[in-house]
Amino acid sequence: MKEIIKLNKVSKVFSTEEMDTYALNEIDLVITSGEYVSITGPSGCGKSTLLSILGLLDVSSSGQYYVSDVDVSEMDDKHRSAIRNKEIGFVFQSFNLISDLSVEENVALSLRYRKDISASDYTKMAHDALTKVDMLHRAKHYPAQLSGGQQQRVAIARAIVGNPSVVLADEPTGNLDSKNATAIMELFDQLHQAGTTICMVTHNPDDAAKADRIVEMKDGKVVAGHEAAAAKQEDALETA
Amino acid sequence: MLTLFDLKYAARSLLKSPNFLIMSTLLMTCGLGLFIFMQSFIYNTLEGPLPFEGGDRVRVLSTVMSNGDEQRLSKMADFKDIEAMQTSFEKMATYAGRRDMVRYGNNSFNEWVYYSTPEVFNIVDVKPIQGRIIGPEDSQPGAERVMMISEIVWREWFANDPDILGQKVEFRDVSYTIVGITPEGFRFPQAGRVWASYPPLPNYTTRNESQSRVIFGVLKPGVSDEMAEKDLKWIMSELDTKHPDQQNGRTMKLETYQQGVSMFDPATGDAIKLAVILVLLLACINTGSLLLSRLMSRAQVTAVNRALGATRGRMFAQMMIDSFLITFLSCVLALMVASALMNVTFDNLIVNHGMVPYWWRLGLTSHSIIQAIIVSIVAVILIGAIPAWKVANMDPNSFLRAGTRGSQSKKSALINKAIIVVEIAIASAILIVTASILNRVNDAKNIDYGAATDKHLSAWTVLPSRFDTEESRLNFYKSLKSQLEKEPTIEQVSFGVTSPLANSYVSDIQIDGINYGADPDYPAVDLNIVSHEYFENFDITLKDGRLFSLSDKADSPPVAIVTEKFMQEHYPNGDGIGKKFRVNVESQDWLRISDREDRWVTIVGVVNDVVNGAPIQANLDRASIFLSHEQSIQSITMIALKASGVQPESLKETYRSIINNAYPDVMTINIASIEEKRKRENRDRVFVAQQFMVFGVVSIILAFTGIYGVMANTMIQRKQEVGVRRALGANKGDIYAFFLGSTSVLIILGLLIGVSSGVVITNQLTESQMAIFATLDAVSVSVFVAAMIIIATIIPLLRLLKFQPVFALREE
Repeated sequence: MKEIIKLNKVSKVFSTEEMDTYALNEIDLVITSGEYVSITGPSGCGKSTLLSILGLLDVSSSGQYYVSDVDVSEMDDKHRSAIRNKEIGFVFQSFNLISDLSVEENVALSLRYRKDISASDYTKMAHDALTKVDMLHRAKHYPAQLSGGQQQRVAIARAIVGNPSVVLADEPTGNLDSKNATAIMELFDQLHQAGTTICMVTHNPDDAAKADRIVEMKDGKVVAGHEAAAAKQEDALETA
Repeated sequence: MLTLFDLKYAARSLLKSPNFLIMSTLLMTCGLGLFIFMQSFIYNTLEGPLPFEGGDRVRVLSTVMSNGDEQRLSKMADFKDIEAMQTSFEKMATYAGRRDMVRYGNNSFNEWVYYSTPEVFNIVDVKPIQGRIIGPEDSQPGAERVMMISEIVWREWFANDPDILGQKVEFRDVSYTIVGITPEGFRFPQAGRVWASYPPLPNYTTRNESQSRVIFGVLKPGVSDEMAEKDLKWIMSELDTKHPDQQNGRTMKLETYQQGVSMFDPATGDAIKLAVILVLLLACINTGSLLLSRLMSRAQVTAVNRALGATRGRMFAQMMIDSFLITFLSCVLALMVASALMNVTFDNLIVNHGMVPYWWRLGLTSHSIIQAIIVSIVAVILIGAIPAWKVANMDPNSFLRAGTRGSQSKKSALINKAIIVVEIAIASAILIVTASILNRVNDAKNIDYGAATDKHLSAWTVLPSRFDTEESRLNFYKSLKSQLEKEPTIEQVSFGVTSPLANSYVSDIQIDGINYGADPDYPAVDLNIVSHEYFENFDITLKDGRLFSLSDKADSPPVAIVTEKFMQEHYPNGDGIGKKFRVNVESQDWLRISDREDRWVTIVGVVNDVVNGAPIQANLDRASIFLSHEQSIQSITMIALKASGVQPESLKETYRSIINNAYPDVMTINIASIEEKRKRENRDRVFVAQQFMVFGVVSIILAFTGIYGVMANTMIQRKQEVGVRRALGANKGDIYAFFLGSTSVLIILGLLIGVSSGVVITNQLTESQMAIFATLDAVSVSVFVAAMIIIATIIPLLRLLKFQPVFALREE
């Protein structure tokens, strides 16, 4: 399978006069095309920092990072932005829809930063994405008019509208009630079934278990990585 | 109900935010200080009542000629008829000022003497410290001529001679008895300090021959300016019907006494007042914006109070305390600043102008303080109302839920946009007006008079009555010229009745061969009567024909030289040499033109265009004619000395010494280099320009800081949006483009409003010769303001984009 994401000894260090703090410490990670990966771990273990680096929202202090075999570690802002725009889709815990843009405008926003898509296609592509998340009927509404679950659906539509190589989700159900959370996780399942590569940060074991693979982190390091099914089996054995 | 606790809490809370307190107090002190200073200055010099009973009802009657020209001096004949026919004034008076050489024993003093009717002293309500005021009996035929002097003249001239009353002084060969001394500090009009009884009226053959003088009066209580003007209109129409050939359709216009001696006209005063109001508005907007940020940051405290049962009204009142405390503190500081500015300004005015009118109040008055209090109350509301209303009406829940992040609501965004547009509009309007006034100042500074003026000293020379023949006057000028030219520092001497930056003697002429019809509209020209050296002395170039020569004598055919503009207007084919015209004697009141000048004169030469008088557009547009000094020898002449190797100012003493030694009874007035006169001519304009430069600088600083504050606040509020956009693939360029794109719309809108308002104000000032609009200024101001606003937008963006996108997103 094609390697969409590859981290090679990536570290992230926050330095102060007194000490260096490793948010990430020599992380190695590969995510292949079509894979569904969960990143779990306790608070402060570096999950979100890892996701930020994976999403090119932050830079690593050392190590190499490849997206679709392209080394992005030393890239300038312009090229990183272009890769972020084309290859990566984001879903945030707090939805992060822009309040003064309508649903379809929010979804089409990332398309506006692309040079290879004409303006006339924005609406059609946004509507296609909204159809996938069953939100087309709210295309003309504004975020404030939607429930939390609906907002997250729109956020997912925004993440997939440009057919990115990978969707990065940061605690996507963290701000939702259980009913909506279940619905959103089902939506991720559907996307995965349709071939979308997903990398999700979550502290919810049930959500994590829905992934193909779980990456466990502690103190900035990957402490375990295993198939989600095997993890379930191990849990069952321990319980027995 | 607010309590002392609320006040103390607000004060303590403000003191805990010293940066906010200092910044907001500085902003408001700046706005209020400028406002109080300029409003007080205008009130004290232009709008306040004169300091005597009925002082607010004193009006000057100015003559408006049929062509629209206005002059403050009116005809004595008109005064007599208006005084007899009018019903609007309770008192009317008139005076005429004349510079005279007043003699007392062996001493003589060069002084303005004001020939005043007795009512002048009743109106200004002066109580002499010794003797009496000039009374009606002093103007009766055969009455002894009497004089009043001011306390300072008594001290300076007569060394406080206790027996001064009854002493005799002499001027214009007439003896006057001193009958009274006015109190210390009294001067009228403006700087006048010697007053003579009005001589019995001379018999004039025509109404226009009667002397020109200032006519003023006190309106009856309850009579408005409109009613009085209606009354005057009727009187002037009656006079026009009665004397159509002499009145020529002239009418009368009323203005306050102060308007005629103010440094600027009411339109300029209004523009200044508008400018300071706008600067104050900017200060209020910025302080309000700071206060809003502060109150929003303390919103959780408000939410807790609301949760504990505080009503909206109470919260609103509590929030207004901050605004009150800041404005109160600023008002106190602003009064101190305004007072200091007033003192500095008046010190400079006295240095530059000499004496200023005695009714100009030099410091802050109770009127200023009352106005400061009123405007401060308005400022409290302007600054505090919106932030207080916003905080008082917020949903306490939203602030009590921990972890809820703020975001910029549509309302906030709209308010921010409105603030940016208003700030841009105000700053650009003030800058446009400032640039237009500076244009006018520079224009007046650099005006081409068509004559070299940089080496010249000029002075009026007034011959006493003993020079009663043309020959005696001619001999005087020859002798004076010969003595002056012996001085190595004087290169050349010439005579004229005026010179550049002196008076403009506008006269009507008749061109030979043109029939002007029954209702003639004669062309007006600028008249000068010059000696043959005048053109060489001022480097005026001969374009055609010849200059005056020694052969142009009193008994030879009268000749004239005209400017190119004259030729273009009257002889466009260039065939004017040898043609004739005559000056209409009646059109010229100032210059005493004799029958000789009324003769047909032949054009013998054409010179380049020359400007006499003040650099106002009418003078620049008018053609000039020159008659020969030798053929029309005057008793009042302007002598022009060209300096050789020295500064022209240094010739003053040389000139004074020669003339005082050789001709002690010849009076010289207004000795100054022409460059000094140029500066003097421009000084009021420079004063106004300086004020506007201050307003311009302050407004652009306020606009820049205000917009920077709004943008920085906007960036904080939209930080997360920036993070989202970055996460979706926007690079830094996209983010700059996004924000600059939104700001550009605001810049364009603000500039449209500001520039058009600036042009409207400038047009008002152009009419009073105070400003000149140039399209380039509008472009430059727009580019400058836009650049400033773009910088104010980019700085907070730079700070935001300095970090990786995750920084913006982590705020959640």
